[in-house]
Amino acid sequence: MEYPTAIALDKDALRSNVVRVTIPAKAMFDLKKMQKITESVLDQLGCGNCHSGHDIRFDIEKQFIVDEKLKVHSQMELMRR
Amino acid sequence: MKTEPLGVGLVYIPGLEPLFESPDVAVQVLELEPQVLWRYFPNRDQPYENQLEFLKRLQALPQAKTVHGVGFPVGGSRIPDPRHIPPLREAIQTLNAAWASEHLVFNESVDAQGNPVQTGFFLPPLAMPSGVDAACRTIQAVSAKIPVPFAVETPTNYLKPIPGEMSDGAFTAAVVETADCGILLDLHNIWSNERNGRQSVEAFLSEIPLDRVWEIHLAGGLKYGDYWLDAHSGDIPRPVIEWAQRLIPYLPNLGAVIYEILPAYLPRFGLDGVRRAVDEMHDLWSCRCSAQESDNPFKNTEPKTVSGDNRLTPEVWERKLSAQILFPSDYEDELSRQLANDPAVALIRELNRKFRLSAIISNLRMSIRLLMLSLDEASFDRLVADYCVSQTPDRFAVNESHRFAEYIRKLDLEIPYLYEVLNYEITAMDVIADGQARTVPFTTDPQTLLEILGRGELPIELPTADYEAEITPPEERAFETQSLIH
Repeated sequence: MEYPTAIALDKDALRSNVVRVTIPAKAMFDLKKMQKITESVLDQLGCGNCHSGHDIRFDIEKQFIVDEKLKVHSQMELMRR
Repeated sequence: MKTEPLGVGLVYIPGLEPLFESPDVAVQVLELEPQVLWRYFPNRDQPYENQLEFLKRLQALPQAKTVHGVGFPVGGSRIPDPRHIPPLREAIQTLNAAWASEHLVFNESVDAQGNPVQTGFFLPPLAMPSGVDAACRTIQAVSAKIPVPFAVETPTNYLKPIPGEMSDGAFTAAVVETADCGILLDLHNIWSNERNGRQSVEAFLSEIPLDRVWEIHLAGGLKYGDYWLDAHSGDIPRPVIEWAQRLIPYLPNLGAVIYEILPAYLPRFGLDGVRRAVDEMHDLWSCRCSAQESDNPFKNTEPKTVSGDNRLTPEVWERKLSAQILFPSDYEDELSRQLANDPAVALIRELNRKFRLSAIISNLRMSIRLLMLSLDEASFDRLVADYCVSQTPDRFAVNESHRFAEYIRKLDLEIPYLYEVLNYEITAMDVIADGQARTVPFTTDPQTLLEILGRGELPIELPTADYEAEITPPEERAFETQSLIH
């Protein structure tokens, strides 16, 4: 499922000091990179599907951050050499 | 009661659209969990709202429909919020559902001061005669108000049996016979219960009235520490399939066999995996009504349980079990000590915490990401643990997310951009709920900020400028795909 992620610049806004832009309610910048999850706004606000098992959405996010931190760390290590 | 034989089907989750739209109509039944799609407006007299246009699109699909509740279970002593009935009726009527079901568990109780609390997790009811009476009152309070036949789902129970409780099969049988309702038999739950040390599948099936089984749920699970979890995570375990093969010929009123998977597991398991499960269910469906004899063929060779301390009331059971999950130090009596020593209680606390965080992640992903990138792991874990003990759970992801946002705001953390990202995500929830665009301020270019977070990087010293970002409502594209499975 694809969502618009582009942010449109409101050129009229350039007349003032405030830059006016539009952004989607569901920013999908991250999900393009995280191929492991499907997201939809249909079920985003309601009850969970099942409350007697194991929901892994947080674990997936945590793993993503750990992996990215390691990547950044290893790149810094390489630059030091 | 006779039910119409509908066939095999799937619980609807976003992402399964190609299977429901496939021209071969291998999926014959669409089961909807209406509360998953509800919008929640706490300040309205009627706080729960269907996404009616979406329901109408579901109704237009060729499948027969059933409705399966996941928010207001009927196994406990507390009658669920009566305001959930009108939107439940609306969902049933809009879909023209053949029947409706809910779980034979509870998810509400009171704290030590008598204030209502939600448990955040489906918990097992008191399996004693007083628990049967309480569950029947609750079932009848709901079933009397809905326009279709009503069934209750057999739950997973990770707890060790307590002295004097009825067997799971005997409890289920007593409830459905007294309440005069159907059984949604979740075979994966029953098999998980056996694996986790409770009653065997054979003994359970020997005790329930098979003519009341209207529907079977099948799902995959996974091993987690010493437990097998009802995770809805993929392949149906072979023994569960084999139990279905043995059982289905003896179910004269079976109306549907339904497969369940959680959305988070779908990308890994794939539509092909779900389609394999559908094919397996067709093989099972073909065994229907093939038994020559009508007697229950299953034998209970386990020792009969004796009824014990009947002074335990469902209200006390629900309060003390809930307290063990939410406020472990509130009680120091024998039952509470017994529960505290059951490793399943710690398991449920952990799973509950993950459900809560997952609900928050689905709405506040960028804010959580910024927190995780800015804090070391131990600090982040402490923050989460403190949130979970200071705030009780809520069944609606929108409420859980609001509570977490409020908690983070009070901490007044010195993390650049945290509060503007949080403000954006909280406002976006309102935009999604009512479809009305709203504006939020940023002190830097929001696109750059969100793209950096999207890459999993920490935004540092971005150029400062005053931005005003209009958050536009999303366009949901479910059931518009042209990619069909053949």
